[in-house]
Amino acid sequence: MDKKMASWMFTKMNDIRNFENQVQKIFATGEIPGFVHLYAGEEAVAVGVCAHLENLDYITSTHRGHGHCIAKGCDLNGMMAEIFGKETGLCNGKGGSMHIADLEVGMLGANGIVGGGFPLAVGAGLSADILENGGVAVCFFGDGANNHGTFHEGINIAAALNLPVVFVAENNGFGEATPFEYATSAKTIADRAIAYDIPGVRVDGNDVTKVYEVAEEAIERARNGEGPTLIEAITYRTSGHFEGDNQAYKSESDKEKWPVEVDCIEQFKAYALENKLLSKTELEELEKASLKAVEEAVEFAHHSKVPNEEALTENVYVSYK
Amino acid sequence: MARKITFSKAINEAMDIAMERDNKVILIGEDVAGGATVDHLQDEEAWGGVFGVTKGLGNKFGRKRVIDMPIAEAGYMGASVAAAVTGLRPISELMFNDFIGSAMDEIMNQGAKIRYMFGGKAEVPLTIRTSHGAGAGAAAQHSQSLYGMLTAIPGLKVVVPSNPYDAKGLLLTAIEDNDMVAFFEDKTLYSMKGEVPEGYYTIPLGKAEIKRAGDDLTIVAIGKMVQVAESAANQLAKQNVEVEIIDPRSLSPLDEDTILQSVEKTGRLLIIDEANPRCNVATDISAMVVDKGFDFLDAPIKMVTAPHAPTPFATNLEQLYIPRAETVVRTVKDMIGELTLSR
Amino acid sequence: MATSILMPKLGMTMTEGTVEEWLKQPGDTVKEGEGIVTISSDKLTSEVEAPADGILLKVIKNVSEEAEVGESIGIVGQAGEEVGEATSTFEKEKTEPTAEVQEKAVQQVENQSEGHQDMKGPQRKRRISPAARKKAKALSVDVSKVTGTGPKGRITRRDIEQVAEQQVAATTTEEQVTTKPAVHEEEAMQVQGMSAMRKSIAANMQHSLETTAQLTLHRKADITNLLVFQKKMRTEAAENNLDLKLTLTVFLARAVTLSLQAHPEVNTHLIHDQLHQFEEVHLGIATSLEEGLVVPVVKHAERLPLGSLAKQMKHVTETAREGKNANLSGATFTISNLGAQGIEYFTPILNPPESGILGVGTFVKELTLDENEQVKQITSLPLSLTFDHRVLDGAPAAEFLNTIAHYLAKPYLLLL
Repeated sequence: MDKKMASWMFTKMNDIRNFENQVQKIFATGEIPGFVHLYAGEEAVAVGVCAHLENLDYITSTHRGHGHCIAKGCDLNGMMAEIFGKETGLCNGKGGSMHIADLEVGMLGANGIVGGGFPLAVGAGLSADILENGGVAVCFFGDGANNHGTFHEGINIAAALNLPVVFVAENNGFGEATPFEYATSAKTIADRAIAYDIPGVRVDGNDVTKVYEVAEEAIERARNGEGPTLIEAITYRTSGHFEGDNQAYKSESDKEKWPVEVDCIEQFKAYALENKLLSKTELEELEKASLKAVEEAVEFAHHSKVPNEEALTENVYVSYK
Repeated sequence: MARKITFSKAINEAMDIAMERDNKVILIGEDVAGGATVDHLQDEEAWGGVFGVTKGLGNKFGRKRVIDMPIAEAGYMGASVAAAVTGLRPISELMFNDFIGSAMDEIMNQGAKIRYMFGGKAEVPLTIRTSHGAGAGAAAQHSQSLYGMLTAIPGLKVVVPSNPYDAKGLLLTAIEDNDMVAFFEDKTLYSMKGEVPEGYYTIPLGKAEIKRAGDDLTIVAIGKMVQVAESAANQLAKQNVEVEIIDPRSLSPLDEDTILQSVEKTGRLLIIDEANPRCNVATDISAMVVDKGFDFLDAPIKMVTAPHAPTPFATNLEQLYIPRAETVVRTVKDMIGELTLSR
Repeated sequence: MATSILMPKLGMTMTEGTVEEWLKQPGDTVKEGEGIVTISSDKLTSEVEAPADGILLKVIKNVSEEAEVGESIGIVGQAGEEVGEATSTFEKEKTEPTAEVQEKAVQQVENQSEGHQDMKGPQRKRRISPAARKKAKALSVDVSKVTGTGPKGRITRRDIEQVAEQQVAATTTEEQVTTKPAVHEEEAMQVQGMSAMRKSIAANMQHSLETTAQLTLHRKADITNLLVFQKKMRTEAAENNLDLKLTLTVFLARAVTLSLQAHPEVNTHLIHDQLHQFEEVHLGIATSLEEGLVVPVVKHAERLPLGSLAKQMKHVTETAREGKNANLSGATFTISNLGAQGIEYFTPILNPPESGILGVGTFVKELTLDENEQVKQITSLPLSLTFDHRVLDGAPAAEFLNTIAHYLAKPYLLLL
């Protein structure tokens, strides 16, 4: 890892954290419609994986998708505006938090349906394979989704057809309010790779350098035509399933420990300093710049217009007027 | 004055009563209790459903009867079907009706067809509870109203309550019914308060309610759309137009007689359905009335529905998406005509 | 600056929450992020954190009180600070759709059948609702004679019911006048078929009333001088052995002919939305026969001086009385005279495509004041002009009628 990469990763992790903190604050005021699922605490997974991806590579995401979008290169202004339901949003305000997408940077969409991303990633992998463009597809999913039928169908197809797809589980311990151990019969998600005869790897999802290494190998394999890999990153969401969740299912010790002791950004900061990748001043400057960018995104969203009302029936293939 | 509780609480009470009366009644779904096996909860529920509708049931009846499920709709819906066939009387919660895509085979090809395919030798006493409706900013994949899809399937009964009183009585009937019933709860009605008696009572399926009597035009309104109809009716009454509002309450079976009798009286029919306009319950009721009540009609049947588009996220677009009283008022006036209105 | 503690939104359906417990009391020091109050929604209980460092200045919502999402439930600030300064973080943007755009959305949403009908508009048959059609059948109402009052002229059930009521009323009145109740005097009742002429008159009259916009103007004409003039002319004719039947109608016909030439807009046929205005005057003279009404026509009345006009009028009416069909069509204007029956004013029915018909009543003697306010006796003739309002408006029709009256008042003009 070089200085440039370290700087990119630190910025992206901060962007995600700052972005989610802002969304959390504004959501509580009632200004953001609907509901939001925040990615704070899990930054290292999206950033460590997306560090190896180009624009031609695709990712699929989840209802907790802000982090994936930012790591894959979605515009902060466009994202924030989308969450506010403004016409300058990446989806013109029509998709919202759960449906942010930007095909130009290879973001195939956050997803409101648990398990919705597996087959979509397989399809993107199929395109890359047939078009022989060297692209790969990455499917981010939560531990809750690993019990969904599409997990098994998707991975099996990718493995059977040897497609360039990497499946990245973000095991934060809870599918909504239900513990992973209760809902999943396997000991680990990675173990399930055995059933499909593909590599299954467990990694500390709070250590972005480790995620970076594991992802590098998996993506390399996919690009070289060696087929899919299942990565299980162990992580923790510091917020609730949705904003407003009382999180009664979390233990007090975990709630205290994770955001502080195991915080991925703090860990990486220490790592970068120790390895002389970034100086204290540089880190502070990057932090400041990130905060500023997110604050600007909020301003941008605030000052954007709501969608033109004719947009209601646009892009429906067929309209009945 | 009678006791007032929320729509959500009314549904909760119905399940509570049903579970007390019959220990074969179980509740299955994602986080219907929440926090299963979490040490510090000591089996206390964490959530009681994502909307809190099942709150307290896990604590009262225990996790053997209030069962949290993995996020695997196909799996637990199919299991609910067979559990119903083999001796239990499950209430299976599909968090959002939009997730029906994940469980459709189990509902459509298994549950709905078993009694028929098995020559009447099986019964499927399963109630699927699910939330529907736009207005919560939940966007395209969490806002649909898909009761029409299920109404189209033989072997399913479909219920869409519009108020707390009906919700409780209809849900108790649904749970006691020996066939599969899909019970649709508008998520934006959960906080609606209304008078609800304590204790047990039922409301039969297939019996519409005339919410308001009138001679000039019949409005059939589904679920929350009853409120839209009532608001429109109040505005129209000021202009001497008296509309009759019918809440069908269950879409299958459908109380055709009440609708036809009303149209025979008024000669005009408008249907409000929050679902998209093609092949929805409004078109279905319209076809039924044209078929069986053609000679009653004094004007073309009109439908006020969402547009042919997914639910938009932006609040201003979402407000446009949901049928509004103003639209209903204008459509009613168009149907009656200025000449008639003025005399 | 003081900061509001806002009721947070817990999950998507929460619209209001209840204060469960204040963990801090007014005056207590709080740190940003520290739990300050617990609130509950329908489903969840949650702790709300202090929005800033400072002191809990004010509790706005007490325990068990409800607040809407985004509403201030308390205020944190510095000691001694005015609490009125606290503001909520964001003003909610109003996103009510405009009426205009709503309209558009609605158009997209509504059912489509009407739109398709519109495209075929002109070729479509009469609009009538199924309920009206059924009702018409039950009540034996001829829908082709009913005007629809529904949207786009659709005949509604109520339209049929109203026409049926009118029919019943008309029939009842007629029965009461013309026949005795059958129950009591069966032998008195006669049922007869209609004669061909009666049928023809019935059809023509009904057609006239259904297809035109008839309006009748009434006025009197002072014919004091005319009567003197008529007497004089008759005397002159007799003395000169002229066989002329110089009736009042002849002078009227002459006056009408001259007036029509002065007002050709009345001498007009309306056919298929086209106005055919005539220079020549073919004058119909409504004539009552035992079998019914006929209208013999004096062709080119404009070419005929009084004497010739009198002859021609005598000729055509006699021909008609003899039952000959000659000269019974082609009028551009008609005169109908009920004076002999003692009628003053009536509303003659147009003979389409003509645009005017003049009804003539019986003349009456009356007292009036002359220009010197002196009482004098005059003879006046009631005139009733029915015209087609589609062809001309009231004012020109009135002018036409005034011109006739003018000629009648100054009969020597009739010789010019």
